[in-house]
Amino acid sequence: MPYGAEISRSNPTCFIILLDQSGSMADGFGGSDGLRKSDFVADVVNKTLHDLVIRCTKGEEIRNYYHISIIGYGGSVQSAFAGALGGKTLVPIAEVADNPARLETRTKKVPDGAGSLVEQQVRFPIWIDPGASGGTPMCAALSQAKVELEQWLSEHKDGFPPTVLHLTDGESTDGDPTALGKELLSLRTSDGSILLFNCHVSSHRAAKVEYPSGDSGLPDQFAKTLFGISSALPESFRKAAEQTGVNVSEGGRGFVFNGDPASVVQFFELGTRPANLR
Amino acid sequence: MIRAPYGLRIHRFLAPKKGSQPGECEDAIAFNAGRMVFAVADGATEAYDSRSWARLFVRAWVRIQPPVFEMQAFEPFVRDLGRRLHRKWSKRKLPWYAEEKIQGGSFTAFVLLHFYIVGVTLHWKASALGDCCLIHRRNLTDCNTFPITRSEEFGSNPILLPSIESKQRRALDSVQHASGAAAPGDDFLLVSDAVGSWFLKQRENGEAETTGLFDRLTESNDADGLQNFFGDLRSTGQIRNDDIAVVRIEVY
Repeated sequence: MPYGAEISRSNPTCFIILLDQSGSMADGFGGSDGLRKSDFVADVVNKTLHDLVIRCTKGEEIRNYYHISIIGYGGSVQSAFAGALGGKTLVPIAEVADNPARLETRTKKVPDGAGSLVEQQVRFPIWIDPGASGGTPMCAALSQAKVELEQWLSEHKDGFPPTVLHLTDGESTDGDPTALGKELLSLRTSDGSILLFNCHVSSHRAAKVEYPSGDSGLPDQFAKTLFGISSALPESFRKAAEQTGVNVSEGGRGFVFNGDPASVVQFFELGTRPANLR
Repeated sequence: MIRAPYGLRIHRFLAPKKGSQPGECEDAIAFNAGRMVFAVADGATEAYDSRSWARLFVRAWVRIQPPVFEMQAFEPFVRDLGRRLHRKWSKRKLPWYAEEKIQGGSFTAFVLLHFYIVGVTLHWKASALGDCCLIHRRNLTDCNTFPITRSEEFGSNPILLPSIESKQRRALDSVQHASGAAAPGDDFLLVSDAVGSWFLKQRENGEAETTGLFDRLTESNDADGLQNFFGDLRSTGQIRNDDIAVVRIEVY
């Protein structure tokens, strides 16, 4: 059965996060002046990396169940890691854990045990900083992802297939990404094709579409293009989605259009679900 | 093979999942043949240092005299163990991720078994939480399993014993108990979930030959044979790649 491979130190999987860091990411969600998309997305990615690190923590040791790349694209296409990992790709999770650019202290609200919430100081590791400049060279970013995937797949032929989580707020400025997206989708391990999930966040107020199984309800050609290069969610992901209260029909794809902040959080949670850890 | 009083023959097998070292095995076994107490625990893979929690729990339980089953004694017993484990962790300088994961604590499933004699009859009493399993067979045919009775019950998210004191009470409310009388020819298996699930599937499918081989290998304490046996089951997908703990007690 595809997408059933164990994830272990000798058989790791890989996550590639493709992040649109074009100038428009400095705008607010849904056209508001409030929360900047670039700030929010950077926080979500840092939190996602944190959660992956914690998942791989066994006692004092980190087990290298995952290799991670973060590709930012905007004014340029490059690794979005800051600090000691700057410029690196396909980084083993133990190296990610030991090399955040910095540890910030943030405040979060936690239950006080008596029905109220209290503020608690927590450490928040930062691996990437917000970025927002230039155009949207989506094709160049997908090409870079393809290069990294081919390298990784040559060394991990039987692993759980890599997952590419792509977040963008606008149309590609360097051509139609369809052909490159299809090329990515044709890459595979013996356990199945790579998983390419796309999340679009909007600068305009518009109805969001989450994990559709067809493109008939999509508002425009750009949405249909992204839908066309999105993988169907494997059954284990759909079950995981159900557990978090999201109903994804059979054939539902890893695709969100006009996503709001909650959609972005959910997209990264679902997309990093491969959890058959051994 | 270890000989216990009152006609018990004891066999054990403990092995890590494929790809792990023996020192990484999160299943744990402990017993005291003289006191006729036996314990198997299965530390939760995704929690912090579950190997330590599972081992601490079973080793402490078989030492305590008399064996604790009732909540009144069991609750302070696990509370003290949890505190001991967290004290041990707190003495170390740890990286940020370990410090953070510790806040979630450790978790383990367990099954505990105690034999005792009343008059001339051998009785048994068991407790379990989660998906560790007791299999009681009479002449290797009649079979009762506790607390799980069907193979499809494995794989859900069982309630486990947390190391964090504030989480323990709720889990302890879910501990299940069983008891009965034993007779010569009876056979008790304490197993962690991978073997429990496989064993029940074999019973449900009437595959007596495979369990027969398992019985012969355990009877002869053939660790290499069992390693190969489970290796074959893993490679053919008949058993999940997980740690394996088996304690088998034959009554004679």
